[in-house]
Amino acid sequence: MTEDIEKMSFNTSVSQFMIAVNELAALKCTKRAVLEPLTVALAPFAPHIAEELWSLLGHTASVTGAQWPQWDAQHLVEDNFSYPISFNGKTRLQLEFPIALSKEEVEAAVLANPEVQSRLEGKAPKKVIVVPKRIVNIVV
Amino acid sequence: MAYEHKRIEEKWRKHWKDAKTYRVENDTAKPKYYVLDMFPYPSGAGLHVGHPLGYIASDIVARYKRHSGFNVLHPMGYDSFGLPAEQYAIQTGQHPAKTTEVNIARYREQLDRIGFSFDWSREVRTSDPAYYKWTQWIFLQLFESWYDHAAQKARPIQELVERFEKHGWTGDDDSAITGNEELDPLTQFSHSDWATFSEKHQQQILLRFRLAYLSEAWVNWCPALGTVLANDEVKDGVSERGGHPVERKRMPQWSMRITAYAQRLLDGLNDVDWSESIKEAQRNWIGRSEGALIRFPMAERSEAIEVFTTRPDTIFGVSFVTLAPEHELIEKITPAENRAEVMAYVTQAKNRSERERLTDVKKVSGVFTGAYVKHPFTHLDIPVWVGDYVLGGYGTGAVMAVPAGDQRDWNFATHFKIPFVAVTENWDISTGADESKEATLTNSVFLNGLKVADAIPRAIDELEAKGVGERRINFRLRDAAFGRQRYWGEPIPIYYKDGVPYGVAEGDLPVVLPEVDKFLPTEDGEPPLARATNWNYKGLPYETTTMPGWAGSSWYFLRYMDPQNEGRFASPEAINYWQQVDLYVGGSEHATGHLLYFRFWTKFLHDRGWLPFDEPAKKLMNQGMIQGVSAELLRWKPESQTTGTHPGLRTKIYWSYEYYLALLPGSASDQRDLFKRNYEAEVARFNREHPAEAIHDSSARAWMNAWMMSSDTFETSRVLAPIENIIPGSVGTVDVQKAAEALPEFRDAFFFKWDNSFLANRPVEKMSKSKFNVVNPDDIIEKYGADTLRLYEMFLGPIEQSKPWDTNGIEGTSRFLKKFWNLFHLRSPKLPSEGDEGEIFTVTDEAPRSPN
Repeated sequence: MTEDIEKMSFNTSVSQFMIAVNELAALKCTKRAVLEPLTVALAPFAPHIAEELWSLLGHTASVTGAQWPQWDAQHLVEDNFSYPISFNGKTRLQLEFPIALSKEEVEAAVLANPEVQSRLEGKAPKKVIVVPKRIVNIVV
Repeated sequence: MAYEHKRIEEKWRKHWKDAKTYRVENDTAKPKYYVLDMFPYPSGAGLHVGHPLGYIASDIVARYKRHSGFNVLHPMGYDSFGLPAEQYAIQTGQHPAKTTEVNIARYREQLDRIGFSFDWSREVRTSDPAYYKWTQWIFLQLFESWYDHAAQKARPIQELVERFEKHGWTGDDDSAITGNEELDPLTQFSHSDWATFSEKHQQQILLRFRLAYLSEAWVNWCPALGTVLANDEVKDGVSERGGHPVERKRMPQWSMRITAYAQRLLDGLNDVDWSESIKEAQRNWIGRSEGALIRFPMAERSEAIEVFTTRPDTIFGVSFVTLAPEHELIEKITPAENRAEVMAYVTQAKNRSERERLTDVKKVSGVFTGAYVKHPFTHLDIPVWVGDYVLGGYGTGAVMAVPAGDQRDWNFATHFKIPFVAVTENWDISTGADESKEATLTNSVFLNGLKVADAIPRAIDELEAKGVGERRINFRLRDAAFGRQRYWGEPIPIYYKDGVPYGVAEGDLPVVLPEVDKFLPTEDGEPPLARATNWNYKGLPYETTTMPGWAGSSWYFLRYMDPQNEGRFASPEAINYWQQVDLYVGGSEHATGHLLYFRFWTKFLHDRGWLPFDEPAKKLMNQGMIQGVSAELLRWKPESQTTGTHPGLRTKIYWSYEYYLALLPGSASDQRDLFKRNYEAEVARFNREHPAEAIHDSSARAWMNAWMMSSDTFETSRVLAPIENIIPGSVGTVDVQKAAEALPEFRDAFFFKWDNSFLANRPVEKMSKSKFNVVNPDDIIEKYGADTLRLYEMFLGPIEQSKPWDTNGIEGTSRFLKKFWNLFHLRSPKLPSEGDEGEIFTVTDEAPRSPN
């Protein structure tokens, strides 16, 4: 959002807002810690509704002077990664694993996958290369 | 509570106004951010939905910067002098000040409803005497300055007077560029001459150096508008406003010496974050071409032929030199044995018009003079020809002909079988000339292997080192016409003594616009201000032209910094705090007008020590246009064909003029039925005979529409229908009765229609009252609210693109805001009758995390 405003890419800012509000509505989110910064972020675009909600949230001063929300990197991290699984360099399928898994855990999970097993036709792979958050290559 | 946009928006608009929420002080404890909109001309039509696009974008940035800890200057005002108010005054007698006042009130009302965070306490109006006092003051500074080309800056004219008193003027001083090539050259004088000159004579000389100066000049005179127009206000020989014919006329004319700043206006573009397209438009308008003046010495005489070329890099490709038939050396250099033939050609060629000579490229004509010049580098003999493709009035009237690099030279060489070599790599010279600027040079000694762009400066350096040529820079930019024969503008603070213009004393500013009985020129063609009675400066006559529209807008960004200052245009403290505009938002149509003049005045004020910066705006954003959808009715051309042939039908379908007449409102319905019956019968017959290609009614109609749209049966002149008369949901048609009511002048004209509708084209184009395609933001705000309008305008697409307005799409944005509202509100099962919106404010965590 901040970047979009700096770049004056306002149409994408508005789309981001719409996505966020849809997701929050689906989650039935009523957390002040989420809704308050969201009100500030909407204020430049829709100042009247933002002022009204800001005052309903209990603030007496105008939302105009409220501090711009800082984004928190830990909330922006995706939890899973979809690994391309390749055989001798050719991508054959995609498998999604938590980012938290170690190289060994990813390797084990890949080899346990039925589709990978059927492609191996019962043979042991010569080598399995796991590049975390990038790719898994199986050399047969 | 449900989301009631009306209640909420009214409440907060009042609150912001009462609490002065957007008032900004020059607070040096905080970092500053200056975001400026191009201020509007308050036209009588008010705002349409396209106008606020840029204002909304800048308002978002202003608010975002406030949230981020900046002290934000975000002002608004009015560019309130201008032609429309004056023309309205001529028609109705209503004083333009009155019209302007009413229009401004309307603009303000509309702007306020959109919820902008402008600091209105800083409002400026260019037509306010307290404002134009300073526009006049800046004019006087320009009048009292000259441009020192050696130092590349403007200086006080008094310094020039001192220079003349000590040294006179030698005539070869670069500083003495007089700006207007149509003036007779100024002859040199010594310091003792200067002392003997009368005051009048001295003033006439100084006038040729002033940055604001009066001269006899060729101007663009528009008789219909009764005024002089600047070059950027003339497009294809007609006025940009109104499309009236414009003619060239010689008259005394105030001008601004913007040409003195040509190079700096180019260089400054490298320091600003503006779009490449605006920069390119300014570069082209300034039109710098760097080339060389090269001397080719005569083989057996003392004279030399001078040529100007923009491609000195092709010097090794010169295979001959061509003189214009008007060239003064022809008679001198032509040997006796060639003379009769050469002079016969010259006489014949001179009789052809320049236009003919330039456009008729196929007809090559020329003659060899029998004389030779020496190549400046190779010293080989080069033949001298006369050819009528060279014009006497352009450059030096002579060209160095490089057939391998210039198509006209190639045509000439090929026609007369003059040998030549390629000077660019991998080029087959039998196919034509290689005019590419990307080429690499060959057969060119020290230029071999260089790209054209690098070879040009290298060639000029070598020419200069050998003393056979020098760098020449030409600009396309001309000085800007400044005086207008109009009423509604700033009076030029000049009076005349003994026919010489003098500046009004600073203490006597402003020169207030006088009252006149009519807003028209006088019977003897003097501007409207000549009608003013008892209007003079201490008994001496004032200048009667007024400033152009661009004067007040060339410095307004400075006045916002300190709008109430009566002693200066803005205090040094305010200027030092606010500095340049950080973000400037406005339309790209001002690329070669306002955006150039505003840079010019900033550079000038910088030169004279009033500003610490010399570019007005660091970043420029040009918003696109929001276009409207118009309707153009197709008008029948009675003389055109009355029958059409379906590509599938072997026989013609008859739709004669009579049939169409039958479709006019009020015509006999039986005629109309007859037409339909005939048509349906014809289609039915065809379908019976060609079941595989059967035409269904809808496709027949579609084909008929297409035929009518494409054929020349209908006039191309536009007939525009009011947008509200378009039948909703039936794109391409217009309600017959309503359109006829709205366009009484066309009631008897014959438009094509089908059933009960006129057929119409629906072009997407600029919104304008005259095209009936305007969408008023007030209506949108009434229905959906200002927040929805703001979001929707941003949502329409990238801000810099032009896009059509579509009111239907706004529903989605409106729903989004309701959904946002509902995040904070629980739906109450006890109040089902209140609709499906949230009713009770229900954010759970305890009230404000931080007292704010």
